[in-house]
Order: sequence, then structure tokens, then C-alpha cells
Amino acid sequence: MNTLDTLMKRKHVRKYKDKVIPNETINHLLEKTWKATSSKNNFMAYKIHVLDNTKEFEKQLVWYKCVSKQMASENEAASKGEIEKPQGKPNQYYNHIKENSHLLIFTSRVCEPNDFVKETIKDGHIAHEMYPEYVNDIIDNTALEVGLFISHLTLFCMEENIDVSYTACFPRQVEKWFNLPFIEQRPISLMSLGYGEEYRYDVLKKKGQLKKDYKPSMDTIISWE
Amino acid sequence: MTKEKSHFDLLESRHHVKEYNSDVPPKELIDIALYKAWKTTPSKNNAMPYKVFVLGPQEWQKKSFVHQMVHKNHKDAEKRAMERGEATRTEGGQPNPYYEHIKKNPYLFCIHAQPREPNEFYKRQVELGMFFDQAWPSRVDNFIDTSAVEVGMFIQNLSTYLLEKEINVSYTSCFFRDIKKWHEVGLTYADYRPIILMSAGYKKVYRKDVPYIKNGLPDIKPEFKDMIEWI
Repeated sequence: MNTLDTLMKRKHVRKYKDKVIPNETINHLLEKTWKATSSKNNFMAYKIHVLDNTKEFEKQLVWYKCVSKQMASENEAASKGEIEKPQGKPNQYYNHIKENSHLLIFTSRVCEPNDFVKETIKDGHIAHEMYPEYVNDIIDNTALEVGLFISHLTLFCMEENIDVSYTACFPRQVEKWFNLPFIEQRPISLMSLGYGEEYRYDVLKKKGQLKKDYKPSMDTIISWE
Repeated sequence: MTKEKSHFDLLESRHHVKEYNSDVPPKELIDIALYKAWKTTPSKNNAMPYKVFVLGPQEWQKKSFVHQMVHKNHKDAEKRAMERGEATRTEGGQPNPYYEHIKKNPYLFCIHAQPREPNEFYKRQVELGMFFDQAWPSRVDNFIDTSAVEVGMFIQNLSTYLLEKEINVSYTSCFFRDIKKWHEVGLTYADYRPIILMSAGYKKVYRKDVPYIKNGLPDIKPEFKDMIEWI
């Protein structure tokens, strides 16, 4: 199957099956992705925390953070007049965060330079990835590289018929992750893996809402100058 | 060769291009790769809060201005590091040779943040109380990390489709984030902060093949165990 057909298979999972992916399979996919993903100055200034199927309590805490963030955003928007009133109920499409085979939490990582970069630093090069105080300043580049990694991992998972879903609604402040102490730097993305039982696509199709949930047109996204 | 290996081998074969050759990939191939990347890259709430500005083979002057945004930012970052005591010297204002791909290439993709209106489905959700932050220009900096993750997915998909056609790609993330600086030099096509620069063409020289790099100290990734933590 070519890349287009492989990636076209991906759909957001509303509910995963109980079937668990072996940890060895996940580790193999992560290692392939690590090998294939490039990074500025070879820093890879991010870390991936893997929660397997035994970590139900931790996943529940992560899900709760997503819902709390959703509620807080809606309440803030309502107070600013950006929406009329909050929904006041959890987004059902965050369920994949608490019920999955594996959950990946991507966070920033403060790095040591490799030998080559150490030499360039002696020559006057500055590497912000080495300093905790610059984590927020370089977050757009770190997040972009996380996107490269996620894109590769998605492709390799699709090849193995493993479904994946993402969520970007969660608090960015590390202190709000105090009850998950392995989170030491700013969280960037959440990605779940498993075998899909029900997809968001199917829910919208049943409700006849699929045609209303479209992307911006291609000419809105791409502009030839 | 299995199909699994073929994707992996394709992706692992990508290297940073120091210099492109003078052959120009047909525009049709670029258009098809852009279409496929648009089609297969997911986005939170289907917003795709970014815009891809493509500078084609004739836009050498604009590419030169973009290169200025890169080179000046690099110089400024070194100067600031000196002032803060994080470096004892600068590289002396020498242009980084690995930024040359920004100036000399057949195609340059400049990807900027861009607020988006919700589609019909999400307009209804907003009426029901959902907050669609991607619609608010004042929030661009707040959701920049989400936009950047999605742009990373887009450029990776675009790279894969181009690599399938043996078109090489390179990236640069060293540039001024302040869009006013871009406007000052006449790059007025975008209204919001840049996220990444990506070039495409047929490679003449890879960075890895430059003798200084090839014979220098090992320029390796962090160990897998430093990146992945099983909880």
C-alpha cells in the first residue's frame, strides 16, 4: 500500500477494543520512528513518556486534565464574551486518552549537545535546547519536531493496522501535572494507540453530520506567490 | 523488500541538502505532493491554523529576503548569547553555509500561523458552548505549539510524498518570529508569525558529504533510552 492509502486509513478513535498491543511492538515502532526522524542539531529536544495498559489510574488523571482544560477554556471564553455560555460537559472524543492500549505523553526535554555540537559551541554557536529557561521560547520548534515524530509513528502504526488518536487540549504548565511527577517539562502532545472499535467518523456519519465537518479548502491553505 | 521496510528506508534516506542542482522539479509534482499532504494531515477541529506560501523558481528575490531573515536572526541570537554570558564568542557574522538551501532552491515553502473560521459542524458546536480558539487572531501565540505540531505533521507528509518522487527536502527553523521584521523587508504575503521554512529540489551536495562534516566529530542523535521513558 502506498503512503497516501496508508495514511488515508487513519481516523480519530472514539472507543478502542480491549485488545492490548504487546509492549515489544510499541517499543519497536518507537525505535523505528526515532531512527527515521530528523532534528535541528540532532537535539531531539523532547521526551516520550509511555503508559501501557497497566497504567489506568495515570491515564485517568491525564484525561481529567484534558477535561479540566476544556472547561477552563470555555469558562474563560464565556467571561470574555467570546462564546455565549460554556458546554459544561466533557468532550466525548477525549475518551481515547483514558481507555487505550498505550498512551504517549510528549514533553519538552533539556538536552546535552553531542560532540559535534560541543565543538560548534566553542566556535560561538548558541544552542537554546541546553537551557531549561528557554523551553518556552523554543516551544514552536520543539512542537514542530514532535509533529515530525508523530507523523512517522502514525505511518508505521497504520502499516501494522494499529489505530492512533491525538489530543491537544491539556494544561501546558508543568505545575498542573504535579500528581504525575514524571512530567518534568512542558507537555506538548498526547497520542493514544490501540485497535479501534468505534470511530468519530462513524458517529458523525450516523448523525448525518459528516459533510459539515470539512477541512479548509486546499487553496485556503496553499498560496503560490 | 517488505512494504514496511520501504517506508522506513524512504524516510531514513532523507538528508539535509547543502546545495541543490539546477534542475527544477515539475510544478505538477509539487502540486500533487501538496494535495496529498493537505488530504492526509489531520488537524484539531479540522482548523488547519496555518498557511503555506510557496515561492517558485522565479522568486529568487523573495528567497533572498527570507535568507536575510534567517542570517540576521542567527547573528542576533549569537550576539544576545554573548551579552548574557552564554557564549564567549560569536561565529563572527559568517553566514551558516547550511542555510544556503533557503536562498538557492527551486521551491521554498514558508509556513506561517493563520487563524481559521470554524466549519459548519464547529459553528454549531460554538453555539452550544465550545470554544474554537483557532478563530481568534489574539490567541495565535497561545495555540502556537498546537499549530506547530500540526505543521510538523504536514511537512513530514509533504516530505514523504516528495521523497517518493526522488525530490529532496531541507528545513530551517532559525529565523525571526516577529512578522513585522518580515514586512519591513517587503515580505508582506503573510500576516502572522512564521513556523518553519522548507526547501525542495534535486540535491547536488548533502551536508553529510561535506568533508568537514564527514570527517569531523560524530554528529549523532541522543540515545533512544534518553528519549523514551516507560512509566
